[in-house]
Amino acid sequence: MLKYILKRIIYLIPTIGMVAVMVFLLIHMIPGDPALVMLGNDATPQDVEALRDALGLNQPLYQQFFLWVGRVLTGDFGVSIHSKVPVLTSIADRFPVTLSLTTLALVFSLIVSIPSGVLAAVKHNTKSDYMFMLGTILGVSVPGFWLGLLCLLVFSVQLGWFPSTGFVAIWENFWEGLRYLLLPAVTLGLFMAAVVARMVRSSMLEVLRLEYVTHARAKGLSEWKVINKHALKNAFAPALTTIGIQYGMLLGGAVITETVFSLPGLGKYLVVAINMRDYPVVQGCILFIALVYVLINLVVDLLYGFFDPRIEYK
Amino acid sequence: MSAIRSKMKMRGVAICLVAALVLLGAGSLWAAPQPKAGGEIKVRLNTDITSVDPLASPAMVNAVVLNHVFEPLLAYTTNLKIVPVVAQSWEASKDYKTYTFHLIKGKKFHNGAELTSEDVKFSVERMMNPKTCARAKLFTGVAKVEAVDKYTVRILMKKSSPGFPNSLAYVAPVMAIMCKAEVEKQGGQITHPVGTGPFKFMEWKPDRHVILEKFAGYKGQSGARDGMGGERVAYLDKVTFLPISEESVAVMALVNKEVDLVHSFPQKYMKKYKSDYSKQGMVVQEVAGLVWVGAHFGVTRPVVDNLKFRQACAYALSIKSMAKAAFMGYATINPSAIATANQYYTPYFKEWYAPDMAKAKQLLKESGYKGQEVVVDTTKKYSYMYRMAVAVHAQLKALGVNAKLNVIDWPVLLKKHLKGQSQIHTFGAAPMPDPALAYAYLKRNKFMEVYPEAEKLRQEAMATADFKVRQKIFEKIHKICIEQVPWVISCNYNYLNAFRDYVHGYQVLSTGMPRLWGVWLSK
Repeated sequence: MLKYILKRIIYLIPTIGMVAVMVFLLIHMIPGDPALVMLGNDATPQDVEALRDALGLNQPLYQQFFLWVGRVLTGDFGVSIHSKVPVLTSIADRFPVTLSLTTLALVFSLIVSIPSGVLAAVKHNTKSDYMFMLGTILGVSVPGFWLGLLCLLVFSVQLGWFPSTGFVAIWENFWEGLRYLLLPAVTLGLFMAAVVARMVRSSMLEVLRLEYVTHARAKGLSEWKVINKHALKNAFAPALTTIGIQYGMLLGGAVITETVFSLPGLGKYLVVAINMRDYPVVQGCILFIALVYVLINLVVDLLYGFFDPRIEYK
Repeated sequence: MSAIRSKMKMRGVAICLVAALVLLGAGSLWAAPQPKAGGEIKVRLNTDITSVDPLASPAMVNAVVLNHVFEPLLAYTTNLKIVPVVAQSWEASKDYKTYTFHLIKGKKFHNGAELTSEDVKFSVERMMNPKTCARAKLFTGVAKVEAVDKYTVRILMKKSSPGFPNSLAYVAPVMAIMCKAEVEKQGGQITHPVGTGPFKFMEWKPDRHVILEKFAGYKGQSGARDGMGGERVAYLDKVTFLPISEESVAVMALVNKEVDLVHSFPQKYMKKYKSDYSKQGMVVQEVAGLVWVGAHFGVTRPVVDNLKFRQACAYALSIKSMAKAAFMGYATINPSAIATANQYYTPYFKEWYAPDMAKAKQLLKESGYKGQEVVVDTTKKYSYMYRMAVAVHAQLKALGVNAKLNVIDWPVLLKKHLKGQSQIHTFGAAPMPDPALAYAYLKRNKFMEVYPEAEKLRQEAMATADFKVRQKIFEKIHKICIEQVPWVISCNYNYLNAFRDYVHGYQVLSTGMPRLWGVWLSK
C-alpha cells in the first residue's frame, strides 16, 4: 500500500510538470498584454514598454519559464502583477472558501444522488424511475450561471431566506456562514448530483441482476439489507470514480458559481486574473488546482480497496 | 362694550396664536430634512479594488474607494473647474512655470500627524516616479518641488505648463497627498492607507469588502459642496464597499436592501425600475458623464485610410442609433470629444453629419471601394462597446460595405486600439476634463501623424491657459474631425446611480465618481 502511494506520488511529478508547461504556454499565447491592462486605456506605448521591462515581460519566453519554474520549486509562486500580493498568500486566503463551497456541494450532491439513484434502480421502469431520469437530464442540462440567478431571485429576493450577496466564512460563524454558502453549494452541486445519480442507478441495475443478490434475497434477508449492504457497496466503486472526477470538476465549476454569488474564492480570483492577464496569478492558481485535482484522484484510487476488497495495491 | 372689546381682543390674540402655531408647524413640514449623523452605507463596487495604494493603478474602482480616504491638492467642481482641496489657496506665476500652494493649517492625517509641505513635496515626487505612480507621465513637466515653509509648497515646471493643474486634479488615480512618515514606515508598499480624507481606512478583505469609518478629526474646505470641491462633511459612521461583479445580482441586492447604493445601475433594468422598483423605495439619478463612446477609424489601415470611405461611413452611421443600441437611450448625443458637462462645450460641438444613405453610397462609389472586407473590432467585456459595434456593423452592411464583426478579448482590443491596428473599432474613452488630453486619443489611430495640423493645434491648446483661446482651438479640432472623420463619436453615456430612498444628499457627478461625504441616512 505504502509502495503504491509512493509510486503514485512519483507519477504526479511528470503530470504536474506537463500542467506547468501547458499553463505557462497557454497564458502567454493568449493575445493581450498585462502591462496594457494595468495601465488602462489612456496609457502611451512608451509607458507600456517601460512597464513590460519592469515586469520582465520582454525577456525571452524560455527564460521567463525557467525563472518561474525555479521559483515554484522553492515554494515561491510569484507576486501578482496588479496587487503586488504574493500569489501563494492569495491562494491561501481564497482556497478555504472554494474548499468549503465545493465540499458542501459534494455533500449536497451525495445526499441527493445516492438515495435517488438507488431508488430509481429499485423502481426500474416505473413512474418514479421516469421522473428520476427527467430530473437528472434537467440537472445535467441547466447552466449553473442561470440556475444561480434563478435561485437568488426565488430564495433571496422573493422569499428572503438567503442573502443575495456578501460572505461570512463558516470557520468564523458556522450557521451564518452556512446561510451564505447553501445556495451556491446547491447550484454547484446539482450537476454533480445528476451525473452521480445516473451512475449509481446504472451500477445498481447491473448489480441487482447478479446471482449473489438473488441468493441474498433467497436467504431471506430484508430488502433494505440486500440493497444497502450487498448491492450498493458493490455498485458504489464505479460511482466513486465519477465522484472523484466530478469533485475535481467542481473546482472548475466554482469559477462561475463564485462569480454569480460574489464569493471570495479561488475561482473568482482566477477569472479576474485571466481578464487582467495577471500571469503569475493564473499560472499559480491553475497549477494549484491541478495539484488538488490529482491528489483527489489519488485518494479516490485508494478508496477503491475499501469498497471492493478484490482490488490489491501493488 | 369694553367686555365685548376685550373678548374680541382675546379672540384676536387666540387667532394670532393659532395662526402662528399653524405657520410654525407648516414651516417645520416645509423645511428640508436635517442631516442625521450615523449609520452605515453599503455601496456596490463592480469589481474588487486591486490595491490600497492610491497611485498604483489607474483603475476607476480604486479611485472610487480611495477618493474618500485621500485628498488631492486640487479637484474638479461639478462643471469641471479646478478648486483647491488640501490647499487653502493656490496661484500660478504669469508664465505658468511656477505653482504655489498654501496649505490648510492644522489639517490632520488619520494617524494624527499634521499635514505639512514636506508631505506634499514627498507626495508630488511620488507622483513623478513611474515606479510608484501609474500616471507619472502627467508629471514629466515638473522640474522641482520645494517646501518653502511649513505650509507653503512650490512646484517648478520645466516649461510653461498652463494645463498642469489638471494633472493634480486627475480623476483616476486620485493624486493623493500622503503622509511621508507613514509611507516610509510601511516600507513604500502601502498596506494600510493613511490619508486626510473624511473617512479613514479600516479593512480590506479581498473580494469581500473594504470598510471605511468616519474620521472625527477631519478639517477641510468651507463652502458648499461642489463636485469634488467645497466642504466634505462625513455624516456616515461607516462605509462598506462590496464587490459584486454580476450586475443582476447587484440589482437584487439593492432590492433586498443588502446594499444601499449601486453607482453603475444597468440600463436594462430601467424599465423594471420605472414599473416596479420606483414604487419599492428605490431612486435612480441620471447625469451625462464624461466618457465618450464611438467608432474609431484606423486611418492608416487598408480601405479605412481612404477619406471618402470614412466620409461615406459618417453619412451612413447614425450616431443616435449607435447610442440607442449601446445605452438604450440613457446617453447624451454628442459627436465630439468634449462632454456636454465640460466648461469648454459650445453648441458648435453638436455639428456632425446628418444620416444620408444616398450621399453615403455616392461617396462609397467615389472612394473606389471594391467590396474588400472591413473588420469592426469590439469586445464583450464592456457590453456597450459590443452593442454599439453591432449597430455599426449593421449600418455598414446597409451601406454595402463587406463588414465583419470581430469580437475579441478586452486586452487584445486595448492593444489594437493603442497601436492603431484596427480598421474600425468601438471604444469608450476615459473621462478627460481637459479637452487637450481628450484629443490626444487621435494619436492612437495615427490620425495625428496623417494630419499633423490637428496635433499642432492640440499643442497650442496645451501651451495656453486662456479659456477663450483654448475653446476656439478645440472648435477648430472638431472642425477637422468633421472634415477628416478620424472617428464617429456617438455620445457621452449617462451615469445611472440607484439607491434606497433613505439615502439623502447623494448626487451623481459627471466624472462618475461616487461622493459619500454630505450623504446621510434616514433609516
